[in-house]
Amino acid sequence: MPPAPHTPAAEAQDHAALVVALDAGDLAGAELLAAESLAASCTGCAALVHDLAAIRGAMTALPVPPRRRDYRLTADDAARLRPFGWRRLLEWLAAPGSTVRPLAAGLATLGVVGLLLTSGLPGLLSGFGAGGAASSPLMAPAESPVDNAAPGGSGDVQFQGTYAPEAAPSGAPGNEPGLAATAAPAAVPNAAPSGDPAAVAGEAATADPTVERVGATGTSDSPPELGKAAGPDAASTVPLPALVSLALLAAGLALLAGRMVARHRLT
Amino acid sequence: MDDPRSTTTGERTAAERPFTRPGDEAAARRDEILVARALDGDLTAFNQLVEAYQDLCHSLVARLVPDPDQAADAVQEAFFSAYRHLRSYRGPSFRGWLTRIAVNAAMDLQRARKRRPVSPYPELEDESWQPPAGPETDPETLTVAAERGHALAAALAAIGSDQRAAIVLFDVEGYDYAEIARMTGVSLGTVKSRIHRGRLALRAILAERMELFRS
Repeated sequence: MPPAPHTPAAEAQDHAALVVALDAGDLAGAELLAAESLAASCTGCAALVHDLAAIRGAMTALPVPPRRRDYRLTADDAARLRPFGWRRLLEWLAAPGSTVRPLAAGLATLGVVGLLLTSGLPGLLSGFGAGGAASSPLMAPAESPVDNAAPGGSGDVQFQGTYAPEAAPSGAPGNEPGLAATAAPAAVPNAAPSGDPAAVAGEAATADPTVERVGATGTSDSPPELGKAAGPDAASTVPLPALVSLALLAAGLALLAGRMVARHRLT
Repeated sequence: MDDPRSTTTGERTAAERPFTRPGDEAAARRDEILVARALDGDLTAFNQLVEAYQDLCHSLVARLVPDPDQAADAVQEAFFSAYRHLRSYRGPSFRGWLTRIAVNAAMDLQRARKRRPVSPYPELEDESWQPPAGPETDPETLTVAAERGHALAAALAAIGSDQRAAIVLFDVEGYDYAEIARMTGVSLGTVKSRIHRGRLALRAILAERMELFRS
């Protein structure tokens, strides 16, 4: 980049900058000597030096308008500025620079990522390996219902219960879908708690849609037990990481909602 | 020049600083006691601090903010902020801490309302206003002093807010470059530059009326 042309205006600006620095006492060494010589030889620079000193001197006598307000704090001001109880919580939530927003965003992000990992990632992995899917109950519906509906099948027992509602119609074409869906969850509670392979095999056999349908329609020996066990144990098929992720997501969203409400109430 | 006031870093001795007075140490001890009581929830103690410093804060902020209503808002906001953040006060000078808050409040407010047109202080346009009586009490001197004050206030209101703040803090309040840099959150070089440019701007605005200042 070529240097700026040395015009009289630019030179005057340079001189003024040097003189004002001289007036402020900000120069030393060669610059000081140059500025002093400039002030002595240039009438305009000398006038500038005198004017700056005069303005600086007048500055101390600058008039101040009278104070028209009493700035003492009232009890209401104090309560508003240092809130207690729920109002303090609201203030914290609504504060512009508070940590609420990043915290909420972080929690929600962790929750979403956790949910994706616990549900989506195993599904992706199962595309590359046959056994990989067995580790994730949430992705189980992607499996072929025909395989799981087979009586005495060697598949995971959990799959039996999970798939039963869909599997029953294909496994037993003549059955009423509603009946099969009702009976299906019974296979899970009976099989899942038992780690014994023999028991698993036995329970897997009971997952046969035909047997379950009979039980569900009231012809089984113990239909009430089947119905009773189905409710609470069905929830245990949701893995803990997924529950934690869901809780994190909910907490993050709740914080964001709380912040919105707090801001709305305080404005 | 032979101005002993300034050095290359703008440092000033205690005697040169207009706000360093013999009673300052006693005031500082009183402030510490009042701050401790205010931290315990005593609002009266905090209001005693307000009473002690509201004139100082008002005069400082009124010079930084040309609009009287904005200046009053900035002072009020400074006291609110001081009360809200009293627990973060670590000493040694409550006065210095409060002044920094007031300067920040004034500058924040000016940045926020930069585009809003200002109405200058009507008090300063009032012909009945007179500067504080000094040794020269003859009417002509007083008239010239009043006229000079009005012209200077109007010129200060016309320059940029950053330059005005730097000039007022340095020339009127007596802070040195380093203190102003800390208060305003800019570098030492920027403070110097703002003061230099601001003075040149003032001189350009007052060029037609310099006879008031030369007398």
